[in-house]
Amino acid sequence: MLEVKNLVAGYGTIPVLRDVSLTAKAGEILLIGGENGAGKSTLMRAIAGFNKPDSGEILLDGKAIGGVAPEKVAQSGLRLVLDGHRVFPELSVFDNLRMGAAARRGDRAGFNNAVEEIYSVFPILKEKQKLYARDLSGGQQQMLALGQAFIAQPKVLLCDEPSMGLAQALLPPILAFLRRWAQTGTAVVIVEQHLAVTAPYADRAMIIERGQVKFSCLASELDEKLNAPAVAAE
Amino acid sequence: MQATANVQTGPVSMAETKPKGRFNSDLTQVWIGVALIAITGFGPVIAGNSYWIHTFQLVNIYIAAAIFQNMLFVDAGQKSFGQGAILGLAAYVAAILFGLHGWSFAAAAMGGIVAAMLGGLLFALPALRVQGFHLGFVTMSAAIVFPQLLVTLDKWTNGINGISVTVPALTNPIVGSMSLLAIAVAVFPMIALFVHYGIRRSKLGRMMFVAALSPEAARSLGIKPGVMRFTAFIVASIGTGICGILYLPTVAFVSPQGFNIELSFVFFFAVVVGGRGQMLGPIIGIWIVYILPNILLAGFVEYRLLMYGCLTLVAVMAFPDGIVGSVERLRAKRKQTGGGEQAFRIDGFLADLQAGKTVREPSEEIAVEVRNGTKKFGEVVAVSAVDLKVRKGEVHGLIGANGSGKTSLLNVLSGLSRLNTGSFMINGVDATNMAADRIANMSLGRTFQAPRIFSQMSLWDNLKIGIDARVGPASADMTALAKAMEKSFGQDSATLLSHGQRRLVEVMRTVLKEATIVLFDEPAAGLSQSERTNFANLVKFLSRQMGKTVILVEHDLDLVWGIADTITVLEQGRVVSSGKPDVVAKDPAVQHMFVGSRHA
Repeated sequence: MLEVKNLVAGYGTIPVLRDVSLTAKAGEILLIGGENGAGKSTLMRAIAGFNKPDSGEILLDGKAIGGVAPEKVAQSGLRLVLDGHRVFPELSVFDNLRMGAAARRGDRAGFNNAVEEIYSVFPILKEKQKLYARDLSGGQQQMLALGQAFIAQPKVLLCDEPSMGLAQALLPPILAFLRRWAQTGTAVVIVEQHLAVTAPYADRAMIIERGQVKFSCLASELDEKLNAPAVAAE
Repeated sequence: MQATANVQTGPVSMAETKPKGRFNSDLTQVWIGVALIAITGFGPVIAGNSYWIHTFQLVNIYIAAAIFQNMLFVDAGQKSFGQGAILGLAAYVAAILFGLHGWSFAAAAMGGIVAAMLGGLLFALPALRVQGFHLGFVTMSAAIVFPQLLVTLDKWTNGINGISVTVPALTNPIVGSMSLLAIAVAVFPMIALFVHYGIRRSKLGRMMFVAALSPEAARSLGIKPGVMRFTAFIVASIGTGICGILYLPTVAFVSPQGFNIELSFVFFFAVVVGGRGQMLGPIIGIWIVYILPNILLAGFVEYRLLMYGCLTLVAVMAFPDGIVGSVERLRAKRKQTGGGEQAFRIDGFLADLQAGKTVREPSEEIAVEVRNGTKKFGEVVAVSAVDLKVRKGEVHGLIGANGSGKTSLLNVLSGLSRLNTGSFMINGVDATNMAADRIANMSLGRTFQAPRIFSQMSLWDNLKIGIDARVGPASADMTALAKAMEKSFGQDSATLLSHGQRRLVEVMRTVLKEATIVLFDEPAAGLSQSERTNFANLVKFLSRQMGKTVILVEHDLDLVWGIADTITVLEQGRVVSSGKPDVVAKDPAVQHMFVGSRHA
């Protein structure tokens, strides 16, 4: 579904990402971990079109999207949920969800079902659907951002730190929700710091270090792989 | 396994040994500016060309005014479109006193500057209430009214006929063909450049900047944004007033038409075309915006308003950051440093600080106490009848679901919002109705959920505003820490920091502020596991070795249980449990929060 080959990207003359490759298959969750500043967010931004890659290929359904404008990338079915809860503060919660449907006009029944599903996962959003998004707490805005992405029903979903600012108890239900979502045929990529909590919900995992892929493995092997070098070093 | 372990060597060391480029080119630009002003100020005099002498004298006066506009517009964030009126006010008042009432030129000049200051105060008043383009329109109205006022008040101003003056003492040559005026007009824009540069590098400049970018962060650092705006307007109007005084002998005539709105636009456009915030911007800007239409294309002078518009349009289309700004952007992009893993880490500094310090336990004294505090937003009760006691030197964890009122409570404690009922005390002093800056100056510091990091400042300057906000002298430890950090981050950009690193920067800012009570709002969100460990060590250090009181709002329960002495649990604004960690952990009211935690 999503394929990244030998991606090099960055902001100045020093590339942040060096030769990163990955694949995300439909129905699967790929978990990406690594230190802060390793380049995870830059990778997400490059895939979504906010950063022009210096070299390398990004393929969505076999179609090259490297260097394509973000709105075009979004129209071809890729969705990035950024960290730091980006929603439209001056719109109501419900209207924010409706914004997600901008990419799928005319599908009224599908929209209603999707909204109902969001409300069942995040009941607080239903409770506050008439309030302005700016009146939500930080964590609730994060839920709304996810909800908006779900309504859009992208083929590929990129999630940058979905746990940011959320009560810890909320992370498992959100991950379970992403899991079910993936199973409907969406390719999901999650960037996360809470690897131990997230790994059980993911299929494959990948660690990025200093702008390069350190290793990738099955999510179930992640814990073992992460601990191995530390033990060897001691 | 071996193959993967090898990947991490290589380009990294290369990047680290590369010498750091300067974060900005302000000082270089100042010197280039001084050279350009010297050439245009003294060149024509030496060459003895009276047309160019006169032309460049006026140009250099306008450059000085544009420099103050630049400072006001960018460094202090005050969108004034009326600086032409301030210049005119000084020139006119001086002309009236000197030309019509026979005052000495020095006394008349003083009168003119005082008038300019009063004009600046008049602009600063609406700035207390409105900002951005609202302020722009208010000041622009003043600039439109000003020439009409001069006509209407013809009893004092000579109306449309204007006032002619001659000041031979200033305009007669003293050395060769060089007059006192020629020297003053060439030197003053240079002084203006150094004043701008000096303010930007000073504590006042940083405080102005922070107040302009984030009034909330400014207040929590003890800065009164209103005072900063006033100061900026006063400094700018004194500078612009002196320009008005210099204008008088240079042109030898004032009339209402000389100070219409067009003049204000010239200053504003010059800043935009030259490059907002760039030291050299106003010089290049005035050259393009003023010289091109008025001198080089003087045959089409009646179309000059159209030309200002076209020039500005073309310039901002081709150079969105202004001409100097675009060049500087290219330079900064090439030289930029500061991103990547470990771009900001604290463990190294911490190890140095911790060495040889004794460990002390929290005292029984109360640092923060909330009594029956309730905070409502309309119908929504964010904080509901909360009682809270935080001991001096302890780490107090504040936990609860999203929207349970944790941040609202922090906002109340830091003075950013007021309790509807109830009260709270800080170190025994009732702080219920205190403004945020006063509370900050009672040695309270805080961080925000969305870190307030200013990309226009270097990483070190971002930290340094913590030192600027300190009350009382610096401790030896913090002086050493500041030195070490300046060395590491002096030329780094803060733009490239990841979200988690930004949080740590804000945390260190409060550490450098040496606040005795620190409020952290979700400091660990987005931190990696190793950064979390470092952060936990930092909090322990602050509490146990520095004796600071820490209130910690955090979702990572493992972290909270690892470092907190007392934990308070909020649910829908109410305290549902409070006490020692092991006791709270067993409280059935909070069990549901532990899903997904290793602590469960």
